[in-house]
Amino acid sequence: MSNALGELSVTATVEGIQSGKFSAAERVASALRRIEERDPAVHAFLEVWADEAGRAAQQLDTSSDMRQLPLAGVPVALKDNLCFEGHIAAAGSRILRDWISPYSATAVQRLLDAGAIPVGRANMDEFAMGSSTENSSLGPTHNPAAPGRVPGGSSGGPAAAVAAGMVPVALGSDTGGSVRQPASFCGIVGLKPTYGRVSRYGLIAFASSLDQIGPLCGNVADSAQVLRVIAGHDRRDSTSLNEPVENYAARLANSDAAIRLGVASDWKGEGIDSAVAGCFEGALEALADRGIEISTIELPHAAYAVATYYVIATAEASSNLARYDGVRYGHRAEETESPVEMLRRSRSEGFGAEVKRRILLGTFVLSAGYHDQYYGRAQRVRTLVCGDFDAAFAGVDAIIGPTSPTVAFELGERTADPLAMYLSDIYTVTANLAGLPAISIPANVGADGLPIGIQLVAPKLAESRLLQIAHRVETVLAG
Amino acid sequence: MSARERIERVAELARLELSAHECDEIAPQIERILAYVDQLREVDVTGVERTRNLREDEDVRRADEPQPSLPRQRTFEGAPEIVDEHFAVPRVIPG
Repeated sequence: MSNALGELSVTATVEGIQSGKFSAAERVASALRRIEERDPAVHAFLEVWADEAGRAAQQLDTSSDMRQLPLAGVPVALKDNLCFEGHIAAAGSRILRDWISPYSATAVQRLLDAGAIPVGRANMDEFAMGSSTENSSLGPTHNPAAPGRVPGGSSGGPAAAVAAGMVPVALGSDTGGSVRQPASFCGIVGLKPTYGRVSRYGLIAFASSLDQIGPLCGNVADSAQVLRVIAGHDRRDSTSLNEPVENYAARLANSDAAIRLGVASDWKGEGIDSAVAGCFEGALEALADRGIEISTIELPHAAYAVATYYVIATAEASSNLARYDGVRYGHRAEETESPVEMLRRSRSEGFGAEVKRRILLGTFVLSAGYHDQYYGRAQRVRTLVCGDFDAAFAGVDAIIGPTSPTVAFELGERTADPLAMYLSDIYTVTANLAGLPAISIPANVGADGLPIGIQLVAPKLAESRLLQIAHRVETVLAG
Repeated sequence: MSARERIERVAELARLELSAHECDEIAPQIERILAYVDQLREVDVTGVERTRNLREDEDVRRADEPQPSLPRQRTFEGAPEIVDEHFAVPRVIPG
């Protein structure tokens, strides 16, 4: 079996297996070989389930319903914050280092039911808090496109695994850009669905009003295929939406209708790399040349999005992470004299610096005397951010902009300055605040060969249209 | 309250124990982040409601019908210490 199988997309994998060109066992073996070759330098995976994946593939090859499964034999990587029954899910943290999921996340179960084969868990910033994967307690991941540079974060491991051709798809989570920004840094496609489109049951919580699971893939068609599988209502997550799920991939071709894209008047903000700005301007020209209508829109409160986000996300995190108490699961400090001491020492030993910083910030903005000034105000500004989008979408189908103000930065470059790291989320956090679907697709590479991504944001539940537009943009930019 | 005192107070509320070194490092970082966040004061939020829930249909009630749940034993498997099918903690009342 040639190693080239390792580069096959989701769609090509399913077609190849269902038409009998190769078996699921061969496809999975090729992914595992690729991991063996590339991962020592990349460190995308925290653990590889080689034997189990091989057995699952063999079983699939002999199953009678294999031909009906939409993801038959597709090797998939899972971000380390997604529960998969019987496997460790540590969320990149020391506090959950050996914790084994007693059940599977709904999104993971749907992948399994669709015939996908999990091959391992992928690295991430601890509890998804970070933009570089350097906050993992298990060491950083390298960008496969540029060794020595970060893959982005927090889904850096999933993005690197796909970018290096180890797997055709990985599941990540996106709270402020954690799927889209690493997709941009690694030169792949990252999709954050509408808030509630994919059940969060079994996703280790960071900020519950912002978290959403999404796929990282090599192209838009694969993202559409995976979204269809993982989306849909789940009685175990009361925030999941009871809305019909479409066959997104089948509708991609219907993208001949006129496309109207909006560009925020102040997109070229402070801190944007000239390479990113130049690449985006070039992309806009190419799109306009191909008949896509581009107009200027206003998002007057987007400038406040990062500040709003870091109040709301840390407040919710401080509450969600209160559950790590050393009693029911996770790390417990040894030889403590009282429950309070046990709680305090277990948490202090188990959490890393960025997680502590965010818990402290979140506790502060919720504390008596400061709650209205910070948290209450941020929730009100969030309402204004949502209103900006509602107004903008009256005239355009989607909003286009850079995904990140920079290309992948060097390992260690930003770790000393948390605020600088937060500002790299400037273009992505708005979609989380407003609960909108958004996708990052590779636009080009800069002069230094580093990937640059472009983001499209659409109205709530407009994934079908978003994916059609992304498919069209992908085609234009590739030509 | 100094930045240092503020962090110590918040750490107590968050049940975190910070070393002197961590306090020295984190206190100015948090101050800088809060100074950045203070730009939210520029925004006129008079009469603006808080976003508490992104769902427009807030009523997600369903019939309260018992469903199978995780077997009791499975919930203990990740616990640091179990005694007689209970989560064990250090003594609460000193004796």
